[in-house]
Amino acid sequence: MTHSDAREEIIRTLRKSLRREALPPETLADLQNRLLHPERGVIPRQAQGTHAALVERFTEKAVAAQASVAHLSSLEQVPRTVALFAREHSFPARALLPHQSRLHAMEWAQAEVETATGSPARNCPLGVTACFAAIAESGTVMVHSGPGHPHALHIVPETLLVVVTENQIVGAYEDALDLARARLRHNAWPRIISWITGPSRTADIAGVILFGAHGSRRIHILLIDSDDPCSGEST
Amino acid sequence: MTLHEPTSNDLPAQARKALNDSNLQSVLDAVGQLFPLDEARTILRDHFFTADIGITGANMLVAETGSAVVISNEGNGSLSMTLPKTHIVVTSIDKIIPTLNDAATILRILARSATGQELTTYTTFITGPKRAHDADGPEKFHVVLLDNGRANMIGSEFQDVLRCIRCSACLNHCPVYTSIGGHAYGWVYPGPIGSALTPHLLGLAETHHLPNASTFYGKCEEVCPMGIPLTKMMRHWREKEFERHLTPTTSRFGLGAWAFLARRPRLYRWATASAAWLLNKAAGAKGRLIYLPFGEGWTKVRDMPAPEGKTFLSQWKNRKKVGAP
Repeated sequence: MTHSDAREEIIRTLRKSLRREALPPETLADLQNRLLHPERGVIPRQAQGTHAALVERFTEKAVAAQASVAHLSSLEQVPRTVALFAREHSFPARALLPHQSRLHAMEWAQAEVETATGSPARNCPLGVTACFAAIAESGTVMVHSGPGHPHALHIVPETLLVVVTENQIVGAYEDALDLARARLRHNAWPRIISWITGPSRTADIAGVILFGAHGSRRIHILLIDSDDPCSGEST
Repeated sequence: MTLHEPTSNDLPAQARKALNDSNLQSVLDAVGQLFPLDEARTILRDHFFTADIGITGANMLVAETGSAVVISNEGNGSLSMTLPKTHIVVTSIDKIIPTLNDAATILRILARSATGQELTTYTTFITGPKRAHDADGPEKFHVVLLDNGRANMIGSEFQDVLRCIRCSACLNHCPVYTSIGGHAYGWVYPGPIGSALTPHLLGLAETHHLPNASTFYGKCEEVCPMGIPLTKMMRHWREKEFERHLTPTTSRFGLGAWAFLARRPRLYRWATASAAWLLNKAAGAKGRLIYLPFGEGWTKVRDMPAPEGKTFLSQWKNRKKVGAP
């Protein structure tokens, strides 16, 4: 059976099971219209509120998901914060960054942090990335793949530092999806959009939760409280 | 690959000390943090980096964007869809949903029902292969969409089972599953959802014991976020099993005999009273039976506790007579 035969066969069986033929054109148009203008389901209260409340909720939920959050007053502080973080956790001050990004262009040498770009090596200790948006309802950061952004950068590093500016924080999943529809569609939808909520974990070994199963063992969020021009851009 | 089984000699000093101190939690912590996860992570990571093809399932397929949604707490899915040259998604037709917003609604209940998390650690929306200027990703992306009898379930009494989002809430709350574990179900889907779905996929002749492994106390459908009437479905399967004469002759005979007696209360009371007396005598002082006619399956591996000698009804009557509370 060829590919398209199998497809036809499934559709035929479905129609037989539903006891109907192909949909009438007006119903079909309604359904297609629903795909073009997606409706929202129920949005929980914890995903709603003033922006200040959502920023607080984001921090609370990210910490509940075992990420750590540090508040910075400006983006310029990032290289120095990374240097301190590396020293505090006994890493070499060497960070993998997204290529040709605003982050990459910052004053890393001055902060005595060695930088690299490209795909992470198997034992990459530290990655630093910006994000596309952040979701208050679950303390999630939203990243996507692209030319400067290997998706592996978001998974492979033992520790991943994510730079989030406060005005990137939205309330609900649907708000984040609307942003993606608005900002990404006209360019090209990325291969991967990824929502990361806390560090990688598993309870597969004896039912005990352990961190760092296949992805990052630690997620550290640098939350920038200024309305920096970098925000909202896919860095 | 096999990970070697640790013996106590392999334990790090810290874990051995904890073991000597007999503090179970600290043993688990020490062993867990220092030993198996690091080893698994290191060994498996090499496999992820050298594999030619990554194969994952998909939790959802989104019609709006043509995306596959894959969720995991570990990150194994994310590595499989990114490091190898080809990514193949194998999933079934019931995973197709209309829009990303529908995905959001399902994601909201999925992790919460599974592990009590707000959201799984990695929630990824994959749309096609590596783009021309992308820094990484597979050059080929295939979705294998399986029907495997599901199209036939539409419009049948089993249609509702297709709503399942595989959260495992029904497993977590099932007294049978939590006692016997997943392997006893013999196939991919364990627990109440397995008992409702597997007969459809593998045939009732092979799997008719599954819908019988239920106490029908209904917690599974009470906690199901998709409102799947699981006990109703298991009951359907039991009816079909009986209709198709798949029940073993002995249990059919037993049920027939029971039905005969149950419709004749006087005879029923006499028969149960005699059986209780007889089994009590047969068990002797130990109060356990090591052999039971038609019950060899039970007594082969364990003893059957014997009745106390009097039926509930006769005890009730006695108590009323002497005026006991």
